[in-house]
Amino acid sequence: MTAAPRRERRDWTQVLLVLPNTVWLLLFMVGALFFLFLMSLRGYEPGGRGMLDTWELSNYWAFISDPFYLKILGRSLLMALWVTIGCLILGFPLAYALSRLRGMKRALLYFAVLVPLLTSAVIRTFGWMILLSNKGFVNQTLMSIGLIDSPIPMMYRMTGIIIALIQVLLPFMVLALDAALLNIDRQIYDAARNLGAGRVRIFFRVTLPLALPGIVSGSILVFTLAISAFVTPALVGGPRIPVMATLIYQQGIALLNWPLGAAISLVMLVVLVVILSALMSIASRAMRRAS
Amino acid sequence: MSTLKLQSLGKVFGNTAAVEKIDLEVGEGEMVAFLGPSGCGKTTTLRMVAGFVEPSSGSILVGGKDITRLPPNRRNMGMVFQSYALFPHMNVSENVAFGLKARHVPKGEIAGRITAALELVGLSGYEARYPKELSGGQQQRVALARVLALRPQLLLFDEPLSNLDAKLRVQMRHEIRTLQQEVGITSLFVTHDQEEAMTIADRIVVMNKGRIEQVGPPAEIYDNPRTRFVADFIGAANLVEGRLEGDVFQSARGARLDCAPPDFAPTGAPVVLSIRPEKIEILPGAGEGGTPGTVMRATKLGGLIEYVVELASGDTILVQKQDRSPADHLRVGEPVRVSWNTNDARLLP
Ligand SMILES: Nc1ncnc2c1ncn2[C@@H]1O[C@H](COP(=O)(O)OP(=O)(O)OP(=O)(O)O)[C@@H](O)[C@H]1O
Ligand SMILES: [Mg+2]
Repeated sequence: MTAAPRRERRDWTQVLLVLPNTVWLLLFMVGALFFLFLMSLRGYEPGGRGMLDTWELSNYWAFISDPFYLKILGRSLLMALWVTIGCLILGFPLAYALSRLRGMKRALLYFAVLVPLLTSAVIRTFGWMILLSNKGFVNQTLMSIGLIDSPIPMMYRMTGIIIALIQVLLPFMVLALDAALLNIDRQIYDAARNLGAGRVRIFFRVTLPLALPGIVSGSILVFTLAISAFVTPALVGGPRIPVMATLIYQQGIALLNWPLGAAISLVMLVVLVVILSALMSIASRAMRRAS
Repeated sequence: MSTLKLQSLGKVFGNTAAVEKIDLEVGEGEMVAFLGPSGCGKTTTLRMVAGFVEPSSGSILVGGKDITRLPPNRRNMGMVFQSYALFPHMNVSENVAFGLKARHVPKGEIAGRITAALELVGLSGYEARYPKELSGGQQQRVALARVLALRPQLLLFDEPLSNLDAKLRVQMRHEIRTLQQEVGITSLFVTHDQEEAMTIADRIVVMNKGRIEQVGPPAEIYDNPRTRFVADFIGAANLVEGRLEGDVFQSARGARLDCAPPDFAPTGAPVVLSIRPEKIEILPGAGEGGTPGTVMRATKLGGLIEYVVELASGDTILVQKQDRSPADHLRVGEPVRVSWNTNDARLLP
């Protein structure tokens, strides 16, 4: 008698709790994507009339058939891949140390990891421009200690973009890895040592496989953020090295070719979804046993 | 299979001494239980033997060889943990194989050793299961098979049964004991459950505040506790404070109680009389023989009845009787007499 109404009320509470978020997402995410999709099917006439009232697939065709655009897509994917790998390599030791610390030390290191997120992307990127330019701090230092004779060009190069993006996105990787590493029962390491395993064997046979959920979620996060990053490639890379995000900006805002910009956005979204879902299905097959 | 010798082993964390000057010899094939309250240093001692904690002082000898500075992966010891500590991403057979591979056991030998170890713990046929597909008891058996497959010199158990429910715990401790005797591996077993220690061990080491209070076979620890701490910690005991007046014990409240002659030189300092509740005879009525008192409380505990008796002096004594028939029950407020065999009442310094 009393149980039924109470359950009903709880169901309602749950609905109410997810409602604002759902409405928000429907309006501004699904809704916006839908309009983007409609726009991508519009014709476009350069100069004169701009966006037309016609429905066509020409924008998609324009992108797929032009090696210039495809090269930008390839470059963006490669950039995101390198950034992800860089974050993994730099982030793993950091996350491992973080997961081992307790109390105040952990709080301090955690804060240090998060600090880069406290500055705006623009300011941070200007910082990198100062550091990476030919007369910048990095090159001046390397030359003054005699490691190099002439500056290594990093500004307006992919190298510079990748270095700057790794710094920006490292916190996301570290936090994802830290969560996974914290989940591992410490006695498992003791057991492995007790069974005769050295540090290398423990790392490859125990730590790494058990950190896989964190590696996957961190990589997805970093890859997605890297490929859609705008400020860093725009400022560090400049117009010479367009990536997908800057290309979309150029089409949409500079050239006012909204239909092509919309089409490129959606192509990028589809490519990203395909890559990530392939990655996730591989990873989840590997993790199914472990979880 | 080896002897173990701990020589004034100690560990200081910061400025707290977790373990102080432990001396202990464990014979070949012996099972020794470490028993004591929480925080008394049992785990620290065991982890020093395993090599996870570096001793601050003293040394550890296995089979006469000093291994104090050897890293844990170079010691041939099998440790079984409270949380089982199985590798969740490996199935049963891979879990057992892990140590064999780490120790470079020849490839051709590995499969046979896995089979033999799983057979030993009664888990043949579970090779392909993952830890999460096993019950707690089965997981602990895998952990046991994992170390047995390595034929270690020592087995180390740190509260291996604490995560199991009461019934399984009793069953598993018998299995562990049987298995340990079968393979004859020298073992240390840390527990804070005295019943577990009593049933599983050849000898018990009672620890308190980082020190050994008493070492001996279970029966001796129970029947002949050497210190107040042991008498109080193991089983239930009546501990009456008082002093020796010549050969007679006189409680602080003035009761003169029978006791065995002290096995230490009396110094005139306060002593404690210790007697187990089940060793006390209780007779109804205020007649001859025994110390008179009054029943203050009667509690039925399964097959036992427990009486709290207040003596004329005001001292209270706990008495346990087999509950044979309701006709024997004593009522609260009834006058009674209590008495005991003088040898069962021991004096402790
Ligand atoms: N890594 C450590 N750092 C500082 N102090 C420690 C450390 N490990 C143990 N201690 C301290 O040493 C003492 C003994 O701890 P230990 O874990 O050996 O107790 P225990 O007898 O196993 O207790 P329990 O029955 O609760 O497991 C405790 O006071 C504990 O706080
Ligand atoms: Mg402990």
